[in-house]
Amino acid sequence: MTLTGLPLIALVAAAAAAAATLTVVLWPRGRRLRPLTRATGVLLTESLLVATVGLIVNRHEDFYPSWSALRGDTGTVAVAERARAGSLDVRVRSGTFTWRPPDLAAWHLAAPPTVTLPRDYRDRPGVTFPVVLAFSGTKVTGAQGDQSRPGFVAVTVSPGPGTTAAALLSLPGELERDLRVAASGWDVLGRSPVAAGFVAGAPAGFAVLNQPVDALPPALAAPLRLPASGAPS
Amino acid sequence: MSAVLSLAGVLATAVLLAASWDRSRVIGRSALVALSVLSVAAAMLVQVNRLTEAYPTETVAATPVADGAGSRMLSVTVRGPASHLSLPMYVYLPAAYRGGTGHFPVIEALHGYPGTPVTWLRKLNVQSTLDREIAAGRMAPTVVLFPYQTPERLLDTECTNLHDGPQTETFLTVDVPAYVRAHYRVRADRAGWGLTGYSAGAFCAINLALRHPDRYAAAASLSGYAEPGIDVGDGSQNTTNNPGWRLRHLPQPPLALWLGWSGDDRQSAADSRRMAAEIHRPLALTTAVVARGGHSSAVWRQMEPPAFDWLAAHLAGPLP
Repeated sequence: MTLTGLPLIALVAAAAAAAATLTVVLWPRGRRLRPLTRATGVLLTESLLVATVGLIVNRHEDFYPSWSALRGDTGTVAVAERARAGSLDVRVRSGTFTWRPPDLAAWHLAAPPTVTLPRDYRDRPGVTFPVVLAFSGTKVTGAQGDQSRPGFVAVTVSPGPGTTAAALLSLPGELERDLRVAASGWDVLGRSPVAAGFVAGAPAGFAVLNQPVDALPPALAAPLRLPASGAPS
Repeated sequence: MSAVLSLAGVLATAVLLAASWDRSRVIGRSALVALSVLSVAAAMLVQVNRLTEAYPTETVAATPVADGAGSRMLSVTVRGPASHLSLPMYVYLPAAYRGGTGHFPVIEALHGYPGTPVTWLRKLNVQSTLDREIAAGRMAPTVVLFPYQTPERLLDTECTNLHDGPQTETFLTVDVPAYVRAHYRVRADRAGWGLTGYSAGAFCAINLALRHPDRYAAAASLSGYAEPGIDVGDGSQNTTNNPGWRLRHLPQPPLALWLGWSGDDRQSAADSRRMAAEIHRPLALTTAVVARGGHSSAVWRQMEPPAFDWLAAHLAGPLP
């Protein structure tokens, strides 16, 4: 019998009516036990009436739609995905290096991108770092971080004549494979149409154009997540 | 304590009714019946209050400040010059707040109706949840605020400025931020401010974020709604105080929203799906679904750590 179904409400309401009737019928009967049977009858009737009201309210408001919900069973647990190590993690050191991912040729850059890692990159293996994608012509400082400023992964790209924003949209995937970087909240610095086009073409919330670097999200361990809507549970 | 007392009252009135009936006349008997009914009604109210914490019976013990380590939950009173409201608020200060000089991101966490912030503190164990997420590195140290959204306990404001009524929206979006900036080391910029809430508080979080994208960068809704379900007094419950309407008819702001719901919480699930379907860029959407559990604390306890982790990733980090 479901918790919010009419059968249960009808049953409890009928039981309340029966208890009330029985209490009235038995009221004058009995001798020494009379106070006890009367009090029991009253309490039983009151409890069943309260239960009826509670069930009706619950059916209307859906607070606990099932017995399992009433027990506090949500049938779901939030899980932390393991932070995936970057494929370059074994080789890279802190500092700056030239990055040559497989997709490099498709971007038609004037020169391969350079990547600067925060100085604590290697010491925090379970953590993903925020990203600043700087287009040539902009100056990015503080990527390594220090006591007073947290670091970030800085990627500097120099677009060539054939570079398109659409082609560059494969860069985040390439970087996420090679390094532990944030999957959103990238800061894109640049005045070129390619920079603006990259931000406009990326998914909503993925990148912000020319935001001060101190507004970057923090470096974080893999979050606890619940299944998304439509995902198989 | 009050629960035990109220149940003892029900028992006592039933015994009194049974024992004194034969010795009483009409007036006495009527009084006995009335007393029984009253005691049952009182016991029911006490239980409902225990569920909603609308009138918390025990004050939440402020965490000891003397031990010198760990997070703190402070109780303060915010006197709002803009809203002319004066209301209590709990303030969570992360362990990293002590002794440092850093400026922290801020999350305003709103409660349901009827209710009080005490539900966050007791039923949803928010302090230990935040401590755990921060210690695990899934969340940056953050100052979390638990303001009241009910200037009168049984007045449902849905965090709006009621026409000819309390200006709760102004209190939550102007007075509380001003108070916190003046009293604590927090980030002052929009990128460092987020909203969350459960039930009516979740509606508040979405509605306030959509209405003030210049002040908040992200909002997480735990079992929220697309409509306030009250009469604001100026008709805005159907338009500008209605996230369903706003998402459909107004340009969407650059903002990140996390919508969580339980599959068997019909109204909230339907409303959340409706909002999710309307959301498009520059608004960014993340959804989170709990299989079942209805509209209850068990669901919100399940959603709480993922929602805070998500907020941390969508707000600016602490400034050392």
